[in-house]
Parts: sequence; C-alpha cells; structure tokens
Amino acid sequence: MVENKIRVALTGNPNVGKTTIFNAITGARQKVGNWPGVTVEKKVGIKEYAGHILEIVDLPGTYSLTAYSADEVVARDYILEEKPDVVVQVLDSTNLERNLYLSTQLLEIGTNLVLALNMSDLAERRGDEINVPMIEKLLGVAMVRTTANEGKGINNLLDAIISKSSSNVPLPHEIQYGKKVEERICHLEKILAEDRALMNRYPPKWLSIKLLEGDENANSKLSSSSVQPEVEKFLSGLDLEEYEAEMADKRYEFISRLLPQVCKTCVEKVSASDMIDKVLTNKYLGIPIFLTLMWGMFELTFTFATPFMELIDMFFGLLAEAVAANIDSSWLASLLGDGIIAGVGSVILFVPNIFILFFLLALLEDSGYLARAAFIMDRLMYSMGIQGKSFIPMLMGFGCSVPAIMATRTLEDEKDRLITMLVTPFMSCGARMPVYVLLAGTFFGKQAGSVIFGLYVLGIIVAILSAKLFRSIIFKGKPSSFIMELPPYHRPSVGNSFKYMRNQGSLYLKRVGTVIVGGVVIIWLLAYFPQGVEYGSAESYIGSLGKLLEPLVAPLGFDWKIAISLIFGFLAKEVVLGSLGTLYGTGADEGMLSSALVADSIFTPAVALGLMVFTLLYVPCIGAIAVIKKESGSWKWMLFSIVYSTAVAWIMAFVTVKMGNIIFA
Amino acid sequence: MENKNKALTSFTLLWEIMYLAIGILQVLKGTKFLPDDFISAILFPPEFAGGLVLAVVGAVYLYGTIEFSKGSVEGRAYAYVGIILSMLFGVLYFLTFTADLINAWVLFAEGFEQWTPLVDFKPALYLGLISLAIYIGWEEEFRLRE
Repeated sequence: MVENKIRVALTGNPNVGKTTIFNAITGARQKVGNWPGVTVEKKVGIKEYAGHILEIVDLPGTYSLTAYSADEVVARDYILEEKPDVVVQVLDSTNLERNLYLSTQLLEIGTNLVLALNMSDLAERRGDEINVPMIEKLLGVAMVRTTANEGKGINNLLDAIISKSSSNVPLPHEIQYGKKVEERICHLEKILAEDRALMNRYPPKWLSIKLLEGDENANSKLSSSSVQPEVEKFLSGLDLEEYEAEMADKRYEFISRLLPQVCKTCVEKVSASDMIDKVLTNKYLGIPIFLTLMWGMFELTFTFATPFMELIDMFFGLLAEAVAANIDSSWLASLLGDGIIAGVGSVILFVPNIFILFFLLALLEDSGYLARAAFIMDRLMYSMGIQGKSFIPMLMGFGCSVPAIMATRTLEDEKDRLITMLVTPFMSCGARMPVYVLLAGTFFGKQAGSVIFGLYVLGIIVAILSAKLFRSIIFKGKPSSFIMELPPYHRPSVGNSFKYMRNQGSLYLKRVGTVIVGGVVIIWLLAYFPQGVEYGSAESYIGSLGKLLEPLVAPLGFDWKIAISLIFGFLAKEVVLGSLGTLYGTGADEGMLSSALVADSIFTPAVALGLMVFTLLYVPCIGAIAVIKKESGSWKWMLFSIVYSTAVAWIMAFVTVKMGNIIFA
Repeated sequence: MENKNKALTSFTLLWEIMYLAIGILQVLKGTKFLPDDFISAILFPPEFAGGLVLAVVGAVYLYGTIEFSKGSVEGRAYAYVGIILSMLFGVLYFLTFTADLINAWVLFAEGFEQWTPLVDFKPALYLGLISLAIYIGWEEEFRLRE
C-alpha cells in the first residue's frame, strides 16, 4: 500500500552520472516538462518503492549554487522555492574535492541531503578509501555508494531517501568565513530580519552570504522587500567580488580540511592532466607558453610549406607557358593567363600553408590544450569586458570566422555573445594567411614567420581592446563568470587531425573554385576592357574605379591597385591576393608577383605591413557578415561590424605605415 | 624516490641554465645589443623570436628547479612539460631544416643558393634533439604518476 509522496530533487555537477541514476530509478516512467519562464529543461520521474511514491526531479547539472547561468538559477530556485523533501546530490567519487563544493552550498541552505557516491568502483580501482560513515558524521548527511551504470546501490539510495525524508530538516551547516566576513554577514542578517515574510522563505544566513557575494539573482529576491534600500546602502561600500572570492576560498579550505579525515588516498591523488595544468595554466607561465606555441605554429606554417609552394609554383608556371604557347586568341590567352591562372594560381599557391595551419590547430585542439587557452586568458579577458569562454569562438576564428561566430551560441549572456560576435572577425582567419605569406615573405625574408605571428597577436589584441571599448560604452555591465570542464590531456590523434585538415582544406579549395574564380574573372573583365587599352592600366575600367577609390586609401600609402584588391577582398579575403596577381599580370608565379611588388615604388616594407594590418582588420568577408546578421538578428549590428572594423583597420594601417616609414627608413 | 628526483633536479637545473643563457644570448644578438659574432654566430645565431622561445622553455625548467628545491612533487610536472616543449621545438626546427634542405638541394629554389646545413643548425634544434634522446632513454623518470 502506498503511504505518502516524497519529492526528491536530484542535483550534482555535470557529467557525474546524474541522468544514469535518474534513469536507473525511474525506468520508463519518466516524463519531461519545461520550467515556466526559462528554456532549461528538467525531467520528472515517478518511482513507487517500499510503499512510497517518489517524485524525482532531475535538475540541470551545476557546479555551484551561485546563480550565474540559467541552469544554476533553475537548480537553486527549485531547491529554495519548492523545498523538496530530500535533495540527492550525485558525486563523482574520483573528484570529491570539486563535487563537495556544491555540497557545502546545499548544506548552507539547510537541505535534507543524501549524497550518492557515484563511480565508486572507479575510485576503488584507483585505490581511494572513502570513509562513508565519517562523512555522514561530519556533514550530517546520508551517503550511499552507487555505480549507476551497473545499477549498483540504487535500492540503498532509495532506502536512504525514504529514511532521510522522515528525519527533521537539519540546521544549516555553517562554514566559518573569518571575522571580517562573518561581521558583514551578521549585519546583513540583522537588516533582513526586519522582513519576516522574506525570512520565512529563505534561510537568513544563506541570503546574507549570497548578497555579500554580489549574487544578482539573490538581490532580485529583495525587489519587493522593505529592507532593500538599507541592504543596498550597506552593500554599496563593499567590494563584493573580493568577498565572493574570499568565501569560495573558505569553502575550499573547509573541503581541504575535511578530505584527509574522510579519504585515505584521494587527497594526494593528482592526475597527470592536473600536474600538466599546474605548468600550462601557471599564473606567470601560462600566457608566455601559449604565445610560444602559437609562434611555433605560424613559424612552421610558413617554413615547412615552402617546398610544396615551390612545386605548385613550378606547375602553374608550366601551365601558363603552355597556355601562352598554344592559344592564339589574345583575349582568351589573357583571360586564362592574366585572369584565371594568375588570380586562382596565386591563391592555390598557399594551399600548403592553409593545410599545415589547420593540421596544427587540430593537433592542439585534440590534445586538450586549446580549452586551456580559454582558461589562461580568462583573467585578462574578464578585465577587458568579456569572459574567458569567449576565447573559444575567438580561437575558432583562426580557422574561419563563420563557424566561430555561430559558436558564440554557447555563451549564455546576450551581451557577452554580441561582444564576442563583433570582435571574433578580428581573429585572423585562414583566408588571410596567403596575403601575409606573400607580403611577409617578399618584404621581411627570414623574419616572415615572426611577422605573421605578430599579425595574429595584433588581431587578438584589437579584439580584446574592442571588447573593452564595447563593454564600457555600448554593453555596460560586467561579463558573466564561467566554470569550464577541462578535458584531460591526451596524445592527439594524427588521423583525426588529418581528417580535420582535409575537411577544412576542401572548403578552402571549394572557395577557390567558386568565389575566387568568379572574383578574378570580374577583375580580369574590368582590367581588359575597354578594348584597346593596356591590360590593367589606369585607363581600363578597373583603373578608373581604382582611381575613384584611391583618395580613400592614399593617406595609407596605398594606390588604386591595392584599393581594388581590398574592395574585392570583401567577397573572400583570398581575393585580395588573387586581385593583385591579376592586376600585376604576373601569372601564378609567386616569384614574379614578389618581384613585381618589390619593383613597384608604391610597395615599401611599411606599406606592405600596413596592407597586411588592413587585410587583418577590415570588414569581414561577405559570409561572416551574413552570419553576424543571422546570429544577432539585426541589420544594425551587421552594419556596425562593417563600419567599425573598416575604421579600425584604416586607423591601425595608417599608424603602421607612418611608424614603418620611420623604422624602415 | 629521493635519488630519482635528485637526478631529475640536476637535469632540470642544467637545462634551465642552457635554455635561459642561450635564449637571452640570442635575444641580445637579435636586438643588436651584442654583435652577431659574439662567442659564435653559427652556434648561437642572432634570432629575437627564437631566443624568446628558448627563454620561455628555460623559465619552465627554472620553475621546476624551484619546486624541486622545495621538495614538491610539482617539480616533476615542470620537468615533464619542459622536456615536451624542448622536443616540440626541436621537431619544429628539424622540419624547418628539412624544408630548407629540400628547397636548396632538391628543388634548387631561388633564395637558397647560399644555404648550408649550418644555417639551420640552431640551438632549439640541437637542444631539442638531445632532449629527445634523453627522454627516450629516461622516459620512466619523466612519467607523471597519479
């Protein structure tokens, strides 16, 4: 006979086996419902067991009850507002320290807490000896070992839930935060005590702690309270971030004192990944190591590709010769030789660089290092107005801006997302690489790799500074904090990296076969006509158009040919190079184009550097612009991106050329 | 365990000195604070960016030495990451050497007429290759245990 209904909230960090436990308990009787007002999904399942009906509510995975994301708000609000009879926190036995952080917060609320020590088989295999009775005694909770994927310990967990539901709700477990913090908490508690209704709803100490941590969601709970002005006044003089950090430290201190008492070996267990992270995410070494690896990547991209480029160059040289020798029609020979072979060839030439770059990026990503890059950059990025998580889409921008802008969907906060979307095109995509390789190789010789590396770093710097500017002027407020699961390091798979390289490289080649061919044919037509004029001269249509645009770029030291190349680069950045190849009529021979550029008095090392900077920063390609429109849902942000990036490019190129003229004089 | 860490500590200290000294020397030559032929232009070429890379790797070993001197097991992590970085950059310079060799001796590419193997025989290459040999012979010493 069914006696009563017990409402159980199932919570825990992501990836601890929570859903496996939920499924093991509820079987096929689960149903899915949506929370009102939020998009985050929850699952509700029913289980009849030992004369009880258990309503199991599976809450979104969360690392803490600090409400930064929608997931955390859902989990916390359910526990606070719905007051379930029992809260089951599923713990990953192999990572007790991190998991117990959430436990300390659940205990602060004063929940009837049952801890499910999941993956206990893995912990035992590692040699961990977890003293369950001691944890129960020290924390005042019930604890059960489970191996959910094998269905082990589930009945014991259900027994513990039923037993706990009939016990009194414990007093909130208190962590000592130190004299200064405790005084502030006490003061807040006194203020809050004047609102009885509020105090009946939320534990006073917990609410005081959250207010002192600057928790906006907790603050919103005071919106209709009479004590709000006094609370605001008290908090206004305090550095809440400092308090938040201090209290987080105290919770970890509490855990570090607890662990040696309850676990014989797990305290000293540090995985190989953790040890490597001590070095690669070191406060002082992290960024230099990151920059060093990036430099190595670009140096190799430049140097190792040269023999392959030489071979492609030879092939196109022979092709151009064959065309010139076998086609009588002058216009067709010009279309093929000066147009398609020169334009497309000058872009194809750099396919080895693109393939090597994508291969190396894939290796870094597969090894687990790129995820660390976001972590390393978080402190710097946060101070500049965006969160470290934004660095992942930005890093993806090294490949192509289009998927990178789409990847901003992973950012919860709308302002963070828009800022990241607008600054991601400053990260130098693969399409810009050919322009750098040609110009840096021509004008900076052995230093070309370092120059290219410098351009990539400049892209990052401009992106971060722009984010700071947007945060200060347009999207006022603070970026949201983030917690990120770092995947363990492992030896990268060469096979997977080759696959990634092939896929990305194929996309590049497809663009060559479509957009770039189209672009260079248009440029050839404009350079060839009207009939009778010298090909690509100032008297041709393209010359007239270029002359019209030249005043806009003249202060940068650019002439009409560069202006035309940049305009057509809007189709795709590789077209900048294709256009130069076509306009200089040098065929696909990289050496000839290099020689032509050196011979042109317009091109100096300073102008070449300025052109690279302009190409790096100016208006993203048409594909990226379209995706900004789609993702932001606004023409306004699309136009803003075009105008802002072009203005930044112009100013930066101007400064570069002027400084370059002094340095290289 | 003590003896093993002593051996690793000695290696870390030696490599720290080598990488930092050569790295700084290359940076000073690259920025023209020292003449190109100071000590040896072939063994220690003027190379600003390459010198910085060596200095960063040297700093990793330096941290390792400091951690070992405190008796911390974290020293092993620095030694491990240090030698991985040494080998990575050794491979990078070796690939550059190979590419230049193909350009010069197989393709007879323009700009490589004066190239000799000594041009690319840079500190990151020979230190990286020695590191690779040490790692292969001494892999167990570097292994990070849980």
